[in-house]
Amino acid sequence: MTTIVQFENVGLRHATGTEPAPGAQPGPMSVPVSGPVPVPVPVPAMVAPDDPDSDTAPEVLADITVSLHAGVFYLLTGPGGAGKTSFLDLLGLVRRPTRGTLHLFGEEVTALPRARLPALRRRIGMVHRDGRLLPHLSVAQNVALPLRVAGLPPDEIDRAVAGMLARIGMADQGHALPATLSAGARQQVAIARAFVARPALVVADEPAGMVDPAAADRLLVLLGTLGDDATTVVMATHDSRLFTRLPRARMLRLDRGRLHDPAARPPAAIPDPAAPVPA
Amino acid sequence: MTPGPAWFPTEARGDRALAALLAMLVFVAIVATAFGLGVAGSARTLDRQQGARLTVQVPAAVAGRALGLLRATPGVVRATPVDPATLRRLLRPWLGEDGAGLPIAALIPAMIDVDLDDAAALPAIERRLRGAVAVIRIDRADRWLAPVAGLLRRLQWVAAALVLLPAAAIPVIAGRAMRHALLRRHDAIAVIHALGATDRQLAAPFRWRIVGTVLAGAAIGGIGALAILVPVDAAVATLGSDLIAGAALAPRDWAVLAVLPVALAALAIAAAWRAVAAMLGRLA
Repeated sequence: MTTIVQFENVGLRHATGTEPAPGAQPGPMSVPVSGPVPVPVPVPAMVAPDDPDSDTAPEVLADITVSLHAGVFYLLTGPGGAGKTSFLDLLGLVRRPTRGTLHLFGEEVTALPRARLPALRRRIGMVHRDGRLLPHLSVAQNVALPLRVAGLPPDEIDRAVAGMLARIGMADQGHALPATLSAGARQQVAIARAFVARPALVVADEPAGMVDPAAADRLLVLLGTLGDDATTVVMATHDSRLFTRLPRARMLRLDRGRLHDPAARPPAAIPDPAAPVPA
Repeated sequence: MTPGPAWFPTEARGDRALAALLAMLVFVAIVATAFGLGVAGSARTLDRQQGARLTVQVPAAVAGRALGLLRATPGVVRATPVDPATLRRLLRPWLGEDGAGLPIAALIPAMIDVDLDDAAALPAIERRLRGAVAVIRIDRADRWLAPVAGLLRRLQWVAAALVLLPAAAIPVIAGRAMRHALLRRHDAIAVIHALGATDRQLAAPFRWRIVGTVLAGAAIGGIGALAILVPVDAAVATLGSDLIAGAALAPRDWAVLAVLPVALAALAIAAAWRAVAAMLGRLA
């Protein structure tokens, strides 16, 4: 099985504003997605690896050693403040390790020059808890963003976006603005944006954390079905019961910044899209 | 579906405010530059016309000899006796109308206006005159015009300060405006960065937008300043005073004024572009 991500003794120091401390209340920064009721959530600051604060801050992740394989659905669980978002930030190249080594798609990224990060990021799709849709762009334009960034020709973008919207059941809502959608629909769009460029790795940070249970089930199915056989999905959730509903997923359990039982279940393929999500 | 809308929402009101501020600063810089150039022109006129001019006072009895000596001296362009009628007119404020019949020539020395081709020749001419005529007084025009020349020099410094202040403020304002524009869109930048956008891709919309804003501000400020300066310059050129007419702008001055808004705009754009690069480096 192909290894696409390799953590070796990775540590990550806490950087101010990147993740709330356990039990902390959400910060005052408003979410970049718009909606009927703006919800304040902490927005991770993107921090350069040479952030001077990092030298003295405590480690939010410590001694992480794990390999992630192609085509596997990983559930990253742990209590609030365990370091799930930080772990996903490393995977999404939002932050880089402060010690250890991290290989992504065969590249050691810890000291990779900044200029080489965009090419790697284009192989990664990200779904945030709040969607992070650009509020002034329509649904279709939001979904098209990764393809525009990649420089695809407009007709190819149109085709890919139309196909993706049809797959998530929103073909007739391409012109809608995010603010007019429900929270669940916005997350569907965010998931479609993460998958539209056919990334090798999709990182989802509690994508169903702000929607009702029915919408959450729908989002879970989308995460399991929109990729192809080689797509790796890492989804953070504080709800370890999802593990029982995704029997072929592999669990990664974080607690106080350390990974526990990384081999709790052998790697398995992404859930069968035809299989209904257990109630 | 349109695949190519702006990644970031535009803020037309903010752009207009920045353009208006830049326009005002460019206006001030151009007017101050024109003022400085005009003052410099006056100073040059003063130097040229008065620096090599003197008035020689000699007893009337030796006036003819002094005049002949001056006209025979190399470096003297012109030596002209001040005629009695002119002297009477000059003295009328002190003597009144009753003084018209006074024998002016017997009461005051004869006066000779002298123009030299070079002020540097003056000491040699002065020595020669004093050697030939025992009683003589030489008034150099540049001495009694020295306070005026000093004032003109000070006015040039004032003008330079008035130019430098907006010239220094413009790049600072453009850079800070760009920093704030990026910070306001920090969340969207983070999203697009995470999608794999390069700094160049992200910077492009900001860079070209600031170019438009700065050029608009520079154009408005420049046109506004010229609209005021052209008629003022025309009026200055028609005045009878040599000193004031010297302030009229020469073609080279107009060229400087035309280049100034372009230079200030380039300064602002460079500062803004540098701010974009620095901020994107900090944001991701």
